[in-house]
Amino acid sequence: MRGGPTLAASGPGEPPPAPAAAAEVVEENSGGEEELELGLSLGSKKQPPPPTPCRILTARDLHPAAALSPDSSVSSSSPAAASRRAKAEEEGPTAAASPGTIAAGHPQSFGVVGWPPIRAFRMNSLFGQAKDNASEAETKKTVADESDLHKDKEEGEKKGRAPGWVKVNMDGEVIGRKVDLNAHRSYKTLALALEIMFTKPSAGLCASNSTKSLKLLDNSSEYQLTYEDRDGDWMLVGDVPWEMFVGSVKRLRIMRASDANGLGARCQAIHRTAAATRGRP
Amino acid sequence: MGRGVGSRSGGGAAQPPWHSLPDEVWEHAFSFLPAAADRGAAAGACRGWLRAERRSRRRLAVANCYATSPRDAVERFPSVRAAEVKGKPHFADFGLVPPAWGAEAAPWVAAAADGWPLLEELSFKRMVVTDECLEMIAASFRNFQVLRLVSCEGFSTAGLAAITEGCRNLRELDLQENYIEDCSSHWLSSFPESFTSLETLNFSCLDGEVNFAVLERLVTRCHNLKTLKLNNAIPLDKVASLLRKAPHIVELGTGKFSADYHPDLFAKLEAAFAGCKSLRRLSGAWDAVPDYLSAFYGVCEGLTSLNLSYATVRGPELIKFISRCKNLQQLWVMDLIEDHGLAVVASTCSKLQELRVFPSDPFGAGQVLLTERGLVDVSASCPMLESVLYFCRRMTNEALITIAKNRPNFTCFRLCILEPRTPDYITQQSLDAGFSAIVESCKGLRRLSVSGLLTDLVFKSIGEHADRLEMLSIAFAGNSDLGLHYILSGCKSLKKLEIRDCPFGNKPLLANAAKLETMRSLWMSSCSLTLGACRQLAQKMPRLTVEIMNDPGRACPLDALPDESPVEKLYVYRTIAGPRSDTPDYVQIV
Repeated sequence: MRGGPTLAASGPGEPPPAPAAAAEVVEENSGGEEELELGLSLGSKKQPPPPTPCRILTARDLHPAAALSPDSSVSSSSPAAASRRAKAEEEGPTAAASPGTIAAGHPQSFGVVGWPPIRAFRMNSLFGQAKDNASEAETKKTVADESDLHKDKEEGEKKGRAPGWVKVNMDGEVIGRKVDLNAHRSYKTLALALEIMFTKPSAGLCASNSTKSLKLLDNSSEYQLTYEDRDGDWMLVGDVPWEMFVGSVKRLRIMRASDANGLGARCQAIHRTAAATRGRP
Repeated sequence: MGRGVGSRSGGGAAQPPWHSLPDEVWEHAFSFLPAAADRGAAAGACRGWLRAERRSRRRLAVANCYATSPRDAVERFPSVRAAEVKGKPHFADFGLVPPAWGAEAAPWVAAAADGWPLLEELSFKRMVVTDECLEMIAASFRNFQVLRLVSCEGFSTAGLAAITEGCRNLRELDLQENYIEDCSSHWLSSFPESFTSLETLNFSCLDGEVNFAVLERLVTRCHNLKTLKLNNAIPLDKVASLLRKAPHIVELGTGKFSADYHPDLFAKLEAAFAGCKSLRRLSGAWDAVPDYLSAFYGVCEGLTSLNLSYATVRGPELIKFISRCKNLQQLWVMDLIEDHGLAVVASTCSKLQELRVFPSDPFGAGQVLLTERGLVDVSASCPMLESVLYFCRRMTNEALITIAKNRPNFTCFRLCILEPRTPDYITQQSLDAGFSAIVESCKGLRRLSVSGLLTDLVFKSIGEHADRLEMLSIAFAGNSDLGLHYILSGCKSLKKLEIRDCPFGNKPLLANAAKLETMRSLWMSSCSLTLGACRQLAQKMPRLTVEIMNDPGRACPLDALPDESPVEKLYVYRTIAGPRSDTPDYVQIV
């Protein structure tokens, strides 16, 4: 007995492609225990369907108007992909309102290895390891979102950089400092530590008096805290979850706010760290 | 390379007069046949021509490094000056081939060092190139001039330093999309101060910093420098300085083109570009602040090639830029250009020959407005368009039929609808009709990638009509073995076939075994093959190597598995070298 596909009658809703019906809908390979009954003749051999059919679903099977059911998925011969897809589908359906939008606009192919066929080099350059992450690398997420799906894995990272000490430079200061990111658990403590480092001693350690306080995480402050990420981009600190920030930061810079204005404009969907969510023009 | 060596004896009483011509005459005659296929055909005519041709062959392209052994290749063509060798199967680009598969460049470099001391050019694609290889290249070839590495891995900047230091006559160092380990080696500084012959320098894929002062001096003293592609470490203002030193540049890759806007930087750039009267090809990873794009306007008119496929410039600025590039022949962009951007391309770039549109957000929900309309517009208005790579989210048969009618001159048509098995979004039918129209209309089609919902019928059309098709890529398509059978029993010129996730089984493979020997290679993954059929195939066709790839995590050796075991990945190729001996654990040659 050999495994392989079986010829079967067309499933419901799947009209034969042509009157000659040379090809019929075939059950997807479901494990290799079925009898292989195959002829190259163009007859319409009807075989009893195998015990666990999994039809090739098309967009027609999905109701375009309603929200996509989490069960609807394009079948694939890779069972592992299905579980990855299930995770991906948590993000919810897209609005199918615009005319002509394909009903299956939902990224169901997500999780299939090597698909879409984009060179690994291009993927790494543009998307980092976004392939392995859920696709909400998008600008939809708001700042403080504790997205557990942002699993910023370091696997495959070419330069395995241990988080820890990073340089900090401040505009107007020639000599830089270094700060240990491992010693902090949140942006607040980091900002406080930096403030202590960079405010003049004469102002005192007590930061309650705002005349000398840098207020680094405050948008309206004179100074903005920025960082250079793995891709070499300069990003505003504070957009992404702390763990993700620590994983991608290379160094820090305290910029004068006038210099930092350009950062907000660079909101691109392809950056995993969604700087655009601040809503700057 | 001619495979069938016909040895027609020159016997018979009266020999034609040209038989007495010395070999040198034939060698000279063959030097006018640049195409390898023509030379191969000539070599197949008779022993005399075989001898003359192979001794005078200067350029050798080995499309599959395992098709022959390096020693055999070097022995057969002793006068080669330029060699190109390709390694891993194409789907390795998409991560379908696990690491350590093979395709080592070292045996080729070693054989070349022995047999081709006058070698001038070496090109490797999808191979493992080590620092030792690079050192050997630098040490072995007195007159080495051109090194091109595409999608390779295994080397570092230390290896590059060996090249830059040792190859006194180097003209081209072209590194495309390689994974290069940064050893902080001063490879750029290793060019001697007396070195001036560089014409092409492409280090765009390098991650690390380079010493800018050294680069500037290099660029200044190499008066013949035509191609310069920088990496992301070079900031914008430095780009301007370099351009002032090399105004005769023809091809420029700007690296990361992003900076906050400063009017004086803008002025610098604008002036620098205005001086580049010869600039024809432009590329770069632009996070460009839109204000800077207008600094380029001076060169737009002269541009023939524009690669913005790593640039995240959005639609409006992109369109303003491209609408000035009236002479573009080659355009690579992100789908951020959207349909209306492509409409502008269609009306502006009448000389366009090649278009590639890449997805900016392949796993996202598809907010970018790039649809079939863009492709329809471009193919309607660009009469010279012959090569397309198009990623989109939806397609219709009608659009494809229109495209086919408008553009029968396609030689390369690659359509990738991001979601597998997507049907015609209006009729919900399969896209059989559309792709059939393509192959029926485009008689010169050499390369085709299909996608969307497809039944066996489309393969019937392809098999029947695509006479010149050499490379076919199929994914998530077809219903039965018939699909594969149509391809293998048709497609007269097929050389490379790569298939993934299709319900194709053993029978068509075995029934068309002989076809596989006329092809360079076949890749099938996640199809419905079993081990038994592969064993049969290998037995039947001794001049094919049948490689099975197991899941690297699996410990069980293939020998122990029964015939019914499914085969996850199959790679079959013809070879005159017999089975290779450098297979990793997870590869078995049956």
